[in-house]
Amino acid sequence: MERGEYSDWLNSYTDAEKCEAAFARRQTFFRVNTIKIPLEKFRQISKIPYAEVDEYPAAFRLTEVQYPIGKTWEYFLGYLHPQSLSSMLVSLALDPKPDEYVLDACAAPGSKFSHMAMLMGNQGVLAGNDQKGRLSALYATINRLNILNALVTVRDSKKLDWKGRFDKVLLDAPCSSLGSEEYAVERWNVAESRRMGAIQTKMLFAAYDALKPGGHLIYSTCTYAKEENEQVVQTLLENVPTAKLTDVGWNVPHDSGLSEYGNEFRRCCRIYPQHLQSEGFFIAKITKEE
Amino acid sequence: MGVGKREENFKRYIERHFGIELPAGIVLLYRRGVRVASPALQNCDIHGEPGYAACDFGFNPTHAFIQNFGHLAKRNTVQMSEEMARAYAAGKDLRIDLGEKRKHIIVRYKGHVLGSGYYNGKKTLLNKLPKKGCREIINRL
Repeated sequence: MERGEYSDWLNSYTDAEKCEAAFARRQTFFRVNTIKIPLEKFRQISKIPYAEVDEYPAAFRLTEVQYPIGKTWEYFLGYLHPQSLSSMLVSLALDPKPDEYVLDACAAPGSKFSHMAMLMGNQGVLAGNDQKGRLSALYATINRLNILNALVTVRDSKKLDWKGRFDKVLLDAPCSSLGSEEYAVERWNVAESRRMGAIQTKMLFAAYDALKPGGHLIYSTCTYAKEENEQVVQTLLENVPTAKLTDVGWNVPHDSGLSEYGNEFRRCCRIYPQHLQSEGFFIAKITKEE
Repeated sequence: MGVGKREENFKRYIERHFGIELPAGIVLLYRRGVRVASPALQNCDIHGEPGYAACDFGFNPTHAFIQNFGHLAKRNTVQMSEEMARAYAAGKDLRIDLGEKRKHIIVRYKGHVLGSGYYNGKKTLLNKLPKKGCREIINRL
């Protein structure tokens, strides 16, 4: 899609000018891997130019633009993992606990997956599922960050066979990536989002099926198109009476989900780059009623 | 060799050679190789690969195992200077005199475990860092 046409389209969701300017100036964040190093020790040893993000434990922002974080001792030693702030919020929204069975249905390359392992204190069972061709990146993350509660599985995310097995499920679905990739817009159009939406819907049904009654599921994407966000969630809610949208439960700058799909969609979060100087994300929290 | 034997052999090797005793709350289990994992995965009936590989089929510890548990080693470790640590991180073999005995060595820098190498008994420590993990380091600790 042409840039001008894209801005017109984006204006139907948010202030396109602000959004695109903030995206161009988005900050680089990283997460300290407290599995390998306590925060206090990291602060003592690290000379990386950073500022802590007060509201979010273990989240740090680089204060020097273009600093090559992948070439630092801290990265080499697995003490940190580069990850956008909005991406960190996805795992925080799911809030996985140490004794739980948790599924990341599309886990590679493993940023949210490893964050969840950290939140679980490296305990419990954290299943990370993906296609075979995407697993090498996930394995590299598991090895580097010392993820001991990982259980790597290879299933088609549209056809999972774990009925009611997991306390919590994350489906960070493959998407058109308009909120995270600089050039995604050039190969994107609304028809592409409709095509993706059909796949995401199948994945969401399968992920929901893997959830225990009373469990929570996070559906997220890093795109703005409603065809990949509210519409996917609405299809689940319309077809599965036990599925209910719930509040994400944190106080983060964001826009609500689109109310044209119903008032309950105000419980969803639309994070645009201007909110956190980070990537754009859509986050919906769904509970399976008992 | 039955299931359980391989984990035991690996455990014995790291205890004897490096003096590494795994802390409580960490288990070794066998699933197409010895793996290190959290205890909850021992009895998990979901089919998958738990934790990560602890060693190869010759019981040589993986880079991940060494980097994550090498701090527990009591022997066969060597402290590097900054210059040598950078060379190690870049994947280079190191000229160092550790005697005439060939052995696996854990490489440390300022107390942090960088990985391991194989000392060939001829004043060279062969770098065992996986190629994908090699990099030029630009900062200081």
